[in-house]
Amino acid sequence: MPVEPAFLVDGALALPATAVRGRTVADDDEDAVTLAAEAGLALLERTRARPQALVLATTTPPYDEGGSVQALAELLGVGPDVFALELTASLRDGLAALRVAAALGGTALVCASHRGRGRDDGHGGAAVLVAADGGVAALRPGPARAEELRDRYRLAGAPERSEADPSFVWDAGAPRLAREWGLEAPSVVGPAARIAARAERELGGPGDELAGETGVLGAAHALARILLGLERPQRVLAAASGLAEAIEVEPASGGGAAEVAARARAALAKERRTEPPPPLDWSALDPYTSAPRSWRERGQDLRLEAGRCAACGRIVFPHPQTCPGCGSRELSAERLPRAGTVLTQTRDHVYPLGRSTAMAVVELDGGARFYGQVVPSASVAIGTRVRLVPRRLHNGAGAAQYFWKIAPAEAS
Amino acid sequence: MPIAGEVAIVGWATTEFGVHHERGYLDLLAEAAFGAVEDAGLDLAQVESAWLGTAEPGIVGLVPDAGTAVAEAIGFAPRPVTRVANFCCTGMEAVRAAALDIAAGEHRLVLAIGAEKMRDVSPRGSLVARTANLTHPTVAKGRTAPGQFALLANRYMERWGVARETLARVAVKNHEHATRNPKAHFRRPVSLEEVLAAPLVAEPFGTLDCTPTTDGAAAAVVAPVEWAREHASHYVVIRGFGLAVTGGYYTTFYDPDNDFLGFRSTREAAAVAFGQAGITEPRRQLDLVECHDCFTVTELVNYEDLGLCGRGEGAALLESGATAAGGDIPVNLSGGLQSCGHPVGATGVRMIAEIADHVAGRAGERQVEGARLGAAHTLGGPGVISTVCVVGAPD
Repeated sequence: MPVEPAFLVDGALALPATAVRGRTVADDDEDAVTLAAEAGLALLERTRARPQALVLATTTPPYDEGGSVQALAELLGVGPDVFALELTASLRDGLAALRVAAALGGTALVCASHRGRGRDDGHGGAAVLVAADGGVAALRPGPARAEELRDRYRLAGAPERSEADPSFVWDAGAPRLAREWGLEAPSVVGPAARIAARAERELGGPGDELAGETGVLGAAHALARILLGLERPQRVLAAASGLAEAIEVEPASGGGAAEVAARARAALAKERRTEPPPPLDWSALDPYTSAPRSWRERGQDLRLEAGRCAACGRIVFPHPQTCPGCGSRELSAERLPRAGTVLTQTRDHVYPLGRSTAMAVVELDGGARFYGQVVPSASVAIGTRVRLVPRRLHNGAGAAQYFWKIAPAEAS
Repeated sequence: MPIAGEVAIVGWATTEFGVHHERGYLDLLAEAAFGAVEDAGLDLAQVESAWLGTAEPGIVGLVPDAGTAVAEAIGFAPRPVTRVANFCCTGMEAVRAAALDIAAGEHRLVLAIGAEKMRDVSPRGSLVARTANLTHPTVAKGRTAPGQFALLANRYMERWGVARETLARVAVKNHEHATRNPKAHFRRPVSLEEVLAAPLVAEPFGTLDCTPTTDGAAAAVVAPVEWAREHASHYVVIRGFGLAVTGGYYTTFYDPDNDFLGFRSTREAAAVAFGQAGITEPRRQLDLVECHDCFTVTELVNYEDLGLCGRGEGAALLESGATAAGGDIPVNLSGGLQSCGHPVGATGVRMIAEIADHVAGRAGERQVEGARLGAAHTLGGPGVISTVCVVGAPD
């Protein structure tokens, strides 16, 4: 399956604020969509790119049917005229997404994320911007494989996934393919961290530091490893559930690859809480929702769009019918900056969402205000620099309602 | 004709405020309405129309949703009754609508009734659950009434260097006042230590910084002053009535002009009411104030917004003792929302009845000697609706 090489333009990692015993742990309001969105937003805000395609790879999508990538497209603000695709079969799909992006041509954003509950699983997201030319590293998709090999799966309706005997995974999984395909010193990615690490060691690969710090990040794991090692040539193999493929990554001259790798390493090195926040209890909430309302107000909810008054220039969130400053009815939609400063805050002990809910009012850079929940893993004070992050607000009427929450700004 | 100076209150009554498991919404409504009519020395047959203030009919199965509740509870058929609502200003709005009815010349004896039944469910099942579930699916999620006013408290303390204890002293003062109000929900004094040690609600507020969840009703009969002069055994005169609505329910906390140190709605409503009443120095001219102390901090910013002191001086005014019983401008001698509770539709009517009691010299142990002019204030929305009603003695 020959595919023209494509180029990696930039990449970003988004890892949760908590890590417990070498595994990153997302807050209860983070899922595969929000983790992918955080990585994608970091990337898009840095590059100002406008991708024509969006590919989401995750084995832990919030929806079994109906799709999750459209919510991601809205949160990223890359729609509505974007080709969007999601790959949800196997951990291998991170690399499959790169292959698809390379084959599509043009500029494509690949987001992969994981919020799995397995023994080896960590939580996180990775995003890679792929273009037909002009990036910091060449991506050359290699061999691919599809065979009936049930080492990790969950039958529809089953509550837990099934995992095969480790000796079977060793004999039939990624280690076998790495040898068969003759990959030189490969990075080996598989759902069973210890088996993949042993194979990589035996084959002379660079070693998977990431798995030791975050756990296995599912479909995002191969992408994260590519970013972390981007300054040197890599051959990466990812295999699970009988789906496998390999890719060659070759940094271009100029040092751009090293910068991307350094940023990814900084994201990984960030200090993390070692205790997960108290769980959110959504059982007491039965919020009113409406599908027409969600669609009509998707700009406000997901794209964080405010109204900019054509007459007086004031920016107002949520987008009003009439400018409260001058009374003009001419307002245009404008995405708000996500950075700001806390004007005031409280911790509410009666809102029925678990132990307590921190709320804050934020003066956003650029003049608008935001008022909402602080992420469960943080507290803020008056004057704290913060950013708005996508989170799942509730599951009213059985749908995932995404909105923005307030998180402490990343130390720059 | 205008309301100010032309519309009189000729009878008023308040039920006990509290948890009335033995009495329903219609029972409370009937007690207040018949009480006010009797206080006016009237027969119900003489009353020509009625206005009902209830803010949350959904708590008790929609019976309070319309004027039908009045027809049913007091046998008012076929006379006109309309329910009005404006969040926490709902009770005051019933009186204002009745006063407009008189001012328009449409009727001469009109009943204003405020009633709310909040404790057929638990306090958390009452407004907290409704706020959590029935409000906007995204922009409102995480909000509660205490949580919204706590934003103000933290900003206020930070901006003016006010201690958390000062907020608590509002509760101490108003609970002390309530020991002389036999109709208050809570009638025992609380110590500063008790307020500070109470379970947290929304930081910095503990339960004793917050109005309780309460059932109650209050009613007033309004009439033209000329009718009152001729027929009433006792009456007071509405000297000014201001209503200001300054923004949207969800949007006020997104408003860059909101400084979280006070409420423009109160300032605008007071400007109208005080202008009509000829009040230029509220602290000197008013003999007492009932204001919307839904949370302790609210009373402090109300002092400032009502012009009893300057911006940032509310804490000092409280600490001076001026707003306590015996001070030069006593505030919430009834015990306020802190002790009476806040059956939303009833509160504004209860406040006006409290001022009327003082002006008419009928306030018993709480009486401000020689009181001739007082103001009642409610705040809702949260903070984007305010009503101020100035009540005075007849000329």
